[in-house]
Amino acid sequence: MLFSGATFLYAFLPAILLCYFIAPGVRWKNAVLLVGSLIFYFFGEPVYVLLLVFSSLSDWIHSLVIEKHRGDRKAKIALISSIVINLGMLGFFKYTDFLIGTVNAVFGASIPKTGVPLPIGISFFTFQTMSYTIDVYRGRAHAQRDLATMATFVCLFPQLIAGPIVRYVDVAAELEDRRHTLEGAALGIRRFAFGMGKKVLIANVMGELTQIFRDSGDKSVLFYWLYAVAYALQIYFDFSGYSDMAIGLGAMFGFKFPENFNYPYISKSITEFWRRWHMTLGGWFRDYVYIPLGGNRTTKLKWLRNIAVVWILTGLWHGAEWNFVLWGVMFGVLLIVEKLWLGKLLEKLPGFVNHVYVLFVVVLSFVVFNAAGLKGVVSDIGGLFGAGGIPLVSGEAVYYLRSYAVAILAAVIGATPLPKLLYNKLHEAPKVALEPLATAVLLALSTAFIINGSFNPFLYFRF
Amino acid sequence: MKKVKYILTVAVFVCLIFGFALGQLLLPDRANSETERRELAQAPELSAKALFNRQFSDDLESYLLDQFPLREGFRTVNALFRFDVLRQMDSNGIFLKDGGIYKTETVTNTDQIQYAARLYNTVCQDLLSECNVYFTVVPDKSWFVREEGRPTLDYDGLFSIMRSSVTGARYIDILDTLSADKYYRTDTHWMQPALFDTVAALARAMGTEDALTPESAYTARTLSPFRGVYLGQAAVPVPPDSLTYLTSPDTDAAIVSGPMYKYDTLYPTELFEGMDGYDVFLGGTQPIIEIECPGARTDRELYIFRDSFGSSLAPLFAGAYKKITVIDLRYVSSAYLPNAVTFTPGSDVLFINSTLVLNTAMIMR
Repeated sequence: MLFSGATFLYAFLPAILLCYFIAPGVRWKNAVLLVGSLIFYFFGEPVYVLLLVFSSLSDWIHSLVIEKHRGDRKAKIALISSIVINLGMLGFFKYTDFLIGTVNAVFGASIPKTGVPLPIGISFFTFQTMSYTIDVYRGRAHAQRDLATMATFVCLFPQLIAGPIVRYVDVAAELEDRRHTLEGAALGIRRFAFGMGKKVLIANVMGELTQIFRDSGDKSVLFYWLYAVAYALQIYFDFSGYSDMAIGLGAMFGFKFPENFNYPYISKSITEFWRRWHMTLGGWFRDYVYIPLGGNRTTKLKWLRNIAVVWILTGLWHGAEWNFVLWGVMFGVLLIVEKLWLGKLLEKLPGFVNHVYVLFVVVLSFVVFNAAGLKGVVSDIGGLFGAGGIPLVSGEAVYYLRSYAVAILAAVIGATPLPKLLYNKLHEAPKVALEPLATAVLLALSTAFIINGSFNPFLYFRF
Repeated sequence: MKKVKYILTVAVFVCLIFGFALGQLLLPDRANSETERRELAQAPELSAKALFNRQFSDDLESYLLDQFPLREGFRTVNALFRFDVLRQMDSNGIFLKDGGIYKTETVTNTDQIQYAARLYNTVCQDLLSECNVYFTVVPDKSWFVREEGRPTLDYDGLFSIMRSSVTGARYIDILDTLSADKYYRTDTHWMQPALFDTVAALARAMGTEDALTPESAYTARTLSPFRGVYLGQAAVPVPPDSLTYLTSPDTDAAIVSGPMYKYDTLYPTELFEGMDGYDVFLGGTQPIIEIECPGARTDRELYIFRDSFGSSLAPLFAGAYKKITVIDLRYVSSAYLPNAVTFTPGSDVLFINSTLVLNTAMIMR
């Protein structure tokens, strides 16, 4: 079920809100959320909902074992068992066919692929559950004794399938007791409406342009760049819009989810970009991979190894294709280069140059990200620089540049804090009408786009 | 003050979400959309199979979208936002120009166009060897407003393939007789009253121009409102057209029949209220129609292989041919034709299809 679908917005959401606020006490409210979340997931993945239940059960049992045997070997075994099960699920569903394909390609074998479809959101919920058992093992969280509460955490529909990656410690207290305030609800609604607008009015429109490029037989260098910029904007507004909706929904139900984006396209270095982009994933890899490996408090060689491991894993997390690995490696190399040499140079350069550098790299990186395998990377990156003798400009490229100029400009401005800064300068009085009006307009406009059946995929669902 | 803002925000949200949800529940479902000319999705049946193969969730989404309260208004908002705010030059290929609605097809199916040429040749060779065979191509109206850069069908390529590949029939050029204003503003079709030059050009090539019913003998009859196919697709607030059909003593005297034809006139006006108002011309989709024309000033026969453009064209030959047989190869196979139609030697034959049909010609058999 998509947040930006009629089933969610005008059937599921009102129904669950009604049941939730009628339900007395936090235990019943959790029960409503749990049942609702299972229905939510069931609509998209009828069979794999059992996987979700299994995941909840498995980590609930493992965490209890860990807590019972805290400090001894059994706790460690339980932790390893939990990680093996989680990574095993992720590996089986996400990477088996990738591995088979690679073996076939390298050794000329013809091992048949499993063809098992990827459960929606598996990368998100396995990371959440892993963080839970690891935190229990480290003593940062108490094991949740109530299975229903634990399952509510794992299955919580706002962040279940596309993040942000919410750790148990982030919401542990709220799972037991949370307040529902008018302010929380209003701010959640506002956040949800803005996220919906980002997704439906900007990301989907950019998505139409990227699809037009893919379908066009009139490619040119200009068209490749138009595509690259459109895709960079699409993926930002798609994913950050989803995160906004998730955070907004969480707030409506009394939860405070972590932020996931902080205007990444205004960054002045790639290091800064990754502090602003998909912050919960970056934080997860930092806390559960990079630091346990020794982080930067080790020899230079091991430090470089640690960065390499994190970024290969980051690439692989995003997709089981070599272009994702390349994408991760590319950022790993750039981060190392920035930390060793480029960072100091960037500090001395004018901010404008830094922005151009970051945007150039990021736009290229998303072309790699969205390519169809490594062959697609060569073709798409080549196209940006005129490979294959394509013309600099084509009639279609100019036409679509003109046709989407306003949307691109709006997206570029919307990717900066400028609208928020301007809004914050307003006095409170006009905001009394403006905020409800903006909420209504965004929801109504988004509904208009949804009804018209326009392009509506969520890019991060495949992760 | 903040509290008022919060109350208003929550109230707006609750009204919208619950209001439309209740509207979905309480308002009666509609069977079809007049503007989009299609049947609307109905409530899906719940079954274990449909639930587990995700058919139910897909169907439920389609149903909710199709039956959404104020759906037409929302579609208009979407179109206006795209055209007037985002300043998009088209929306899913639909664009507006000089008050008309156009749609561009961007993919040129060369194989399908070549298939059409081969099919014409096969029919000519197998069935029409003793006839005078002609063909023409009806350009989509977007051809007349083509401009640099706007993606479009490769019309030059299409015309070139047809002219060079159709060897069994003589090409009649009608492009000079047409212009964008001879088509309905809201529809893909041309207007019958604007076809006198076109009919004259065709009849001239076939040697029957002098026998055509004179323009002054026709009476224009109008049906309103005619909501063309593009009006529903575009969802923009453009006023609908009026559909005009021409009658004359020759058309009034015509006797129409056909295996699927249930009407006793060339213009079954009762179909105007159906999904496609253009069905008024020869009843819309019909495999074979025979038109006996007692008022004709020649003894010649005409066979027209056509699509819907030919439906409005054929009646205008009623004064020039004793018998007109109208055949649509989308609904009757050419292989079956010898069982259904006897082609009289020496007759005229006209293949007339639009660029839209030629680009998807494999629907003809």
